[in-house]
Amino acid sequence: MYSRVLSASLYGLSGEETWVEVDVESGLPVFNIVGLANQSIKEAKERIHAAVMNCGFDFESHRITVNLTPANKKKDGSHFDLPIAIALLMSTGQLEPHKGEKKGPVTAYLGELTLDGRLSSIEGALPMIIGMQKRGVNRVVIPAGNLPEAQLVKGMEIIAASTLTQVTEHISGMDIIDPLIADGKTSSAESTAADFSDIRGQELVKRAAQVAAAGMHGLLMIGPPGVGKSMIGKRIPGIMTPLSYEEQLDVTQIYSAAGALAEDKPMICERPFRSPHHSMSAASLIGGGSRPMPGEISLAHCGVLFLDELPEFDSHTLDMLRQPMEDGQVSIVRVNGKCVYPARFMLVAAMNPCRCGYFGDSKRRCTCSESDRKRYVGKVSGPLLDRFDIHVSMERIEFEDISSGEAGGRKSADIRQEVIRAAEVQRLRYEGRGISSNSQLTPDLMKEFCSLDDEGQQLLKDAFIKWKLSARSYHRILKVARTIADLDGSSNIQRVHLLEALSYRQPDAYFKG
Amino acid sequence: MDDRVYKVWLANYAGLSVKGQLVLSELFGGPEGVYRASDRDIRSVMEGCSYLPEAGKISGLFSRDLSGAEKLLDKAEKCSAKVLHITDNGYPEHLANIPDPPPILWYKGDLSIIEKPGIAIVGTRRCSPYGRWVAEELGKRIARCGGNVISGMAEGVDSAGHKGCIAAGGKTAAVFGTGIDICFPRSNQKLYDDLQKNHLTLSEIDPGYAGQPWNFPKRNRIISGLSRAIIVVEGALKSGSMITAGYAGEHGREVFAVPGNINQPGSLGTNKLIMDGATPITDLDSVPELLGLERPGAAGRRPELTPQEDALLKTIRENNGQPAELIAFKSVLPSRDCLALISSLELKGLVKSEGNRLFTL
Repeated sequence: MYSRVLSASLYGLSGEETWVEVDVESGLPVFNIVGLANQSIKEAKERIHAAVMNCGFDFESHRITVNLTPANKKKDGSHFDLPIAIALLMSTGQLEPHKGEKKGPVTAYLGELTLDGRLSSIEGALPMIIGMQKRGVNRVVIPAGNLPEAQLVKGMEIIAASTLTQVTEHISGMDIIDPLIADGKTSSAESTAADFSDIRGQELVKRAAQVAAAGMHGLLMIGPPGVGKSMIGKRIPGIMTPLSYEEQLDVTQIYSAAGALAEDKPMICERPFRSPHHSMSAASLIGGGSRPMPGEISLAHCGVLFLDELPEFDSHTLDMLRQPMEDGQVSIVRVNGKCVYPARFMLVAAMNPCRCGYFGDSKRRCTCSESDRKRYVGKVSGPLLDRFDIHVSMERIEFEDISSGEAGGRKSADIRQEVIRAAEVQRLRYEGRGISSNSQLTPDLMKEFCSLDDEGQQLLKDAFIKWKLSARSYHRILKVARTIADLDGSSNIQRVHLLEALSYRQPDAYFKG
Repeated sequence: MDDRVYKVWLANYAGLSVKGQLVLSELFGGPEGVYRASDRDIRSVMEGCSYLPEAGKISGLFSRDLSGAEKLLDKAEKCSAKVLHITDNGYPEHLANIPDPPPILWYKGDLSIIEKPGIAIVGTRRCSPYGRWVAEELGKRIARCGGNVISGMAEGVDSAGHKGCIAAGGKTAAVFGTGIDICFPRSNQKLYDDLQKNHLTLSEIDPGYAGQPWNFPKRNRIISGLSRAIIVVEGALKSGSMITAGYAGEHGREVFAVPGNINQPGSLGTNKLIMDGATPITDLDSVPELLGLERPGAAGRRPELTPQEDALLKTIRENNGQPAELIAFKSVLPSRDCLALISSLELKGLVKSEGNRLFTL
């Protein structure tokens, strides 16, 4: 007997319909799964066998063929256990859908089985459910463990079960589980992120961080160990604009696909902060694997990618950042198709001024020679350095020098208020232009939005002669000046804005002779 | 072949001390005369000169082979280096008067730069931002007062001294510890080209020879010899700068030292020099008087400043060389205004940032 059940499979972040067909004929006992299933699906037969038996059903020796269709696309994941088991029970006549179930909307089944017939939660539930909804499927059966993330999909009917028996009883009408209509509400978790007021001093760098967050500019901090570079980096997500619902959904989908959602935190409501170690491989940075998984740049989507000890990263790995940063997404091409993951993040990096870290320090002597230092700094390629609109150098401050001041500086929440205002100005200004922040300005758009008066032109000209700036830095300075003007609520770029932007230029002392 | 070949031969292949070369050249009418003189004449002269160290053993050791000298001159020709022998007119007297002058100098550039004694700026290769700033400022000030800077084109203080002098339109000479045609360190290629084209580079090492570690302390005696005063900017207790200072004392040159923090290894050497009697450079404005240079005419007029800029400049002056962060704190200005004002002061040429530290100019 033949039966079929709807399920889904995940390609990158797009969930696609996949039908599970089961045919049971009499003959020599075999159990075949076809349809380009990978190892984890092939192993499903053992799990299904045990689970079905342990739930009190028969697993008679028949000729069983399972087909996953469309059969020309590779499939992966353990979530086919449940649909295969259901289809199998229907084919062998052990499960008869009740009337309501037959007439009702098409239901998709996702779930992994344990040997005793319980349903365990799966990876990538959210993007698959979103994919189902896009294709007009509005009802889904999922493991109870995936309920919190599934609830984010507005209007979806969700049936969450924790055992195979619950699902079969629901289908047969013995014990119907009431579907839960997802309201798309997100728990706006209170911000647990560390606060800027924890950092004493370094006010100039905090200001630079604010400007960077307001315009989504890349930020590079240079300074000896222990001045607070990482502390500042970690606090940047807390001063960026809060995520919108769409952004939260996007980010959560990526985490779901990567299996990186914590059980107690189904939804990513705060901007992510990713700080990969410098030993990481190119694949873990941009994403990869035979079944391409999102890399760090995608996990940092809408948030901050923080690269500590920038020169220690493999330069080839870092150079891979350039194209995704340009496009805001990364496409990973494999033999059986291409995956596109979004990757629009704010790049924040920290580095020591030299290998030993103490160049220019007032207390410890730097043990590097000039050429050592140049070699160390030179490891960061020019094109990558150009991605940082804002450069700041930091210096150790003696505690006695600043302890006389008022405790702590500004709170993250206050800084954020200003950032939100500036971001709103940018959003309105760039509506319909295909960009959302000043950092994305192209030279063409800059002509339109970053015009300078005569005084400003002259000032920039003087600065260019004085500091021998490049054409690229011209654009960087203009973009940053635009953001500073936005923070100031000024419609045009004024002299002070330009001057402040100029102070974020690349420091000659480290990068030039 | 002109008489250069005899000079090179006399200096490098005849096995004579500088003194011997000078005495024999005078007696036989120049290096060529020495070359053409018979062994008997030379022996009789040498035997009469018991004060020459080689007098006893020189006989018969004279080789009249010019091939080595010709090869060297070929090499020099290729890199268009010129040669200066101690018997030449252009050889600076103040250099000839030190106890151990180099018999021969290969040079490229304008020899008039060392006609009169210059001011040497020396110091560690691994200098702090402070040392670099001081060296550059000293170079500028010396240049503005018409002095010439002598140094060794090493990384750090040396390069900063040269660069400061060049930036202020002055003339400078570099003495190498390698062959004249070798740029060491390689990272200084730009400075090297500039020095050879518009200034002067010198070396006693034969062209084409890379430096050996012991060549560098030896060349320091030439730096001292070419100067009438040396300024040690930064240096550890045991360092090349201290060797130069030692030579300077031996040569009767004035020694100046830039004082530094007593917990900075790079300043321990200079502080010790001060303790031993070197004159400390206590502020930049007094440098011309200290060095006996003439002050240039009234400096260009001071750019106009807003009251805010003026106040911040005062704060920076009071905390010269401190991180911008501290200046911002002391100025009690909001960060954004402070950053803008610093940029403005930098543009007006009153302040310079080295990394995060701010220095007044």
